[in-house]
Amino acid sequence: MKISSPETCGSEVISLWPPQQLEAMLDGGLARLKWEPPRVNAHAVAGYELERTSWWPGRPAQTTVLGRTEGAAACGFEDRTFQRDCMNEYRVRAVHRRFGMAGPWSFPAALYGFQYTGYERMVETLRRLGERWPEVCRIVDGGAAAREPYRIWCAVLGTDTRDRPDRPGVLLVGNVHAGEIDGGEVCIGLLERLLCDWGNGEPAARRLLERVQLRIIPFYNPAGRSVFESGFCGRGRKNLPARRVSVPVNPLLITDNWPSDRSDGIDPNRSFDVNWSDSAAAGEPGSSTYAGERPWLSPEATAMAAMAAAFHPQISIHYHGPGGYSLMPGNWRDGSPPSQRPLHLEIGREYTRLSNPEFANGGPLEVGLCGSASLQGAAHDWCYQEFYGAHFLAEGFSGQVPGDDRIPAVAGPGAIPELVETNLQALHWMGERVRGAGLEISVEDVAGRPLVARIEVGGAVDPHCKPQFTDPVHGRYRRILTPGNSYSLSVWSEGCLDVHLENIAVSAGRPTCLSIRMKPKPSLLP
Amino acid sequence: MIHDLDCLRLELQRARRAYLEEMQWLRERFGVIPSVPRHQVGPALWLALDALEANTADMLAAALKAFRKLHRSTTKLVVWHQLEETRHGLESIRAEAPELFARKLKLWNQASALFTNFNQSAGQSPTLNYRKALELLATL
Repeated sequence: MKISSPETCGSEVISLWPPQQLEAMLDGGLARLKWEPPRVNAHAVAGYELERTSWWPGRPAQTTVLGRTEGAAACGFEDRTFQRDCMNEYRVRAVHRRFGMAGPWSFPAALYGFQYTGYERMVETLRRLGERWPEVCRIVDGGAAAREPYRIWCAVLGTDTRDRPDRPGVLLVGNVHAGEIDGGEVCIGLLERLLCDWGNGEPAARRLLERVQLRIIPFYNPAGRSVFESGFCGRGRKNLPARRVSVPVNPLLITDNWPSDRSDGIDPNRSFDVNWSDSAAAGEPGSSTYAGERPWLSPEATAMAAMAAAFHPQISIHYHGPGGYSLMPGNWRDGSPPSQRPLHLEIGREYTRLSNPEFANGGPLEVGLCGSASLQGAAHDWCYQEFYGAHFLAEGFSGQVPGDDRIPAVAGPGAIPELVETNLQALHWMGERVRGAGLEISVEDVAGRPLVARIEVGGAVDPHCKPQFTDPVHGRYRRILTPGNSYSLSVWSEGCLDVHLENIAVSAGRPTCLSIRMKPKPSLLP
Repeated sequence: MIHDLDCLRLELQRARRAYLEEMQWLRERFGVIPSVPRHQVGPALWLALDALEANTADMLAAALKAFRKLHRSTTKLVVWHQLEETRHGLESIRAEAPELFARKLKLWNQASALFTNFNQSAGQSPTLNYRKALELLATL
């Protein structure tokens, strides 16, 4: 920046103008501010004064004079006292070199005092937990996220952490959209708490990890999330960091003091090949819900699908908010509802009841806590399409997250301990339920060797779901079902006689186990 | 009649372009990002909607007038703020530098006169005097 001296200008001006392009960014434990000198009369500037207003909906705003910089070209400041867990809105103004009076304030810049777990600390936490409890915790690198150096990490928990599609499985996925920070934090809290309980010999944790395999992906969208670690305020969904846009020229378009975000990339929760058709609109590339030109363009989706395919979860929670209101799989593109909707309602309502802290706080109990939405390419719909079972998109309740588009949609770090506690109760319940009412089928040949067989559960077939098979290693298939009904079963395997069973009762609390020995088809040749 | 409507629509387009050009000028020349007085947005918007619905020359003329008023008010607010800022500056140098104060006061009065004695002739930009006042304040 070039600033002419007062001598070269020849006259002494007293009118000061606003400094330009103020930006604020978090860098570790401090907020870095930078700006440019005023466009007019910069030579009359001796330095700058800074002011910060810290605010959050429902809390009193606090304005602090931060101090002064010396020199017209000294256009930077480090604020070590920025307020965590709230908005910090900065303004700067020039100070006259001779008379010391201050000019008009600049257009403001703001940052959110991010106080959650950063990506690097999350990776470190996973490594630490994996090393501390290797007998029940295996850390898996799911592959690169949409931008280096971020990767999608998964913790596999249980006394058997191998890829086991025959084990009862629950999948938790946090921070699905970039700005949905609370869910990721809850996942980390659950991991730590569960393993700590395991180490302390807590019976509930022992029971869960001995009988169920859990897979937890704390940060599903680490690249998109990263911008929030630097104090980005606003909202974002996509898998690349959101950007601030410049202030619109037309003042009528300035809806808030820091223009909304834009980013490249795609919405990683709209990238699965479910409810997708050629006629489905992918949306505008600039929109926050852009689905991409075709399915599977999001590396996050590919990674999650691989993690899920390794253990066929029968229940999964995809955290958008920190729990609470749950969206179950929506109607299919042809308008028909999923055939397993009663099961979804049963599990979704109980999960919602347990995970929603408004209950713990004595807040109002809403009935019918489970909704559905037909999205294109959503992860929970895809899980149902692949594995049947009950899969949910967990939203936060409005009471937890301030309804202000200018700020990140977070309940705040202060809410996390309670959210972890309530979600832990929900997780224990899901661990019981996933081993509860349903079918556990083992298929083998006459020699007792496991067989790959196609399974169809009559009375619970959804024509839109993928065909189901026993796993090739163990010849087993597991599926949760609504209790109190009776089902039929058809089993097909190459070279074997088909098996059809009727009136299979499924009662509450435990799976109905069936062991099927398939006979070979008689040979036509003599 | 149709000819009148076309002319008015053209005028409205010109007024809109002039408004945006002025906002750009304020940003580039002085680094000022104006704020719009909210209480003036509503009436202008309603008039524009009414004009769209009625599609008459009278209504279009009223909408055009309202938009120009909005434009003028937006720029006026910028000038008023800068007049206030410099007035405080003047007060703070009065005792310390009386000669400079006297010189600057003269300029400030000129700017203030341009701000208050608004006299727009036909074809003149609706904010010409405000622009002159701002240029004058930049030299204050």
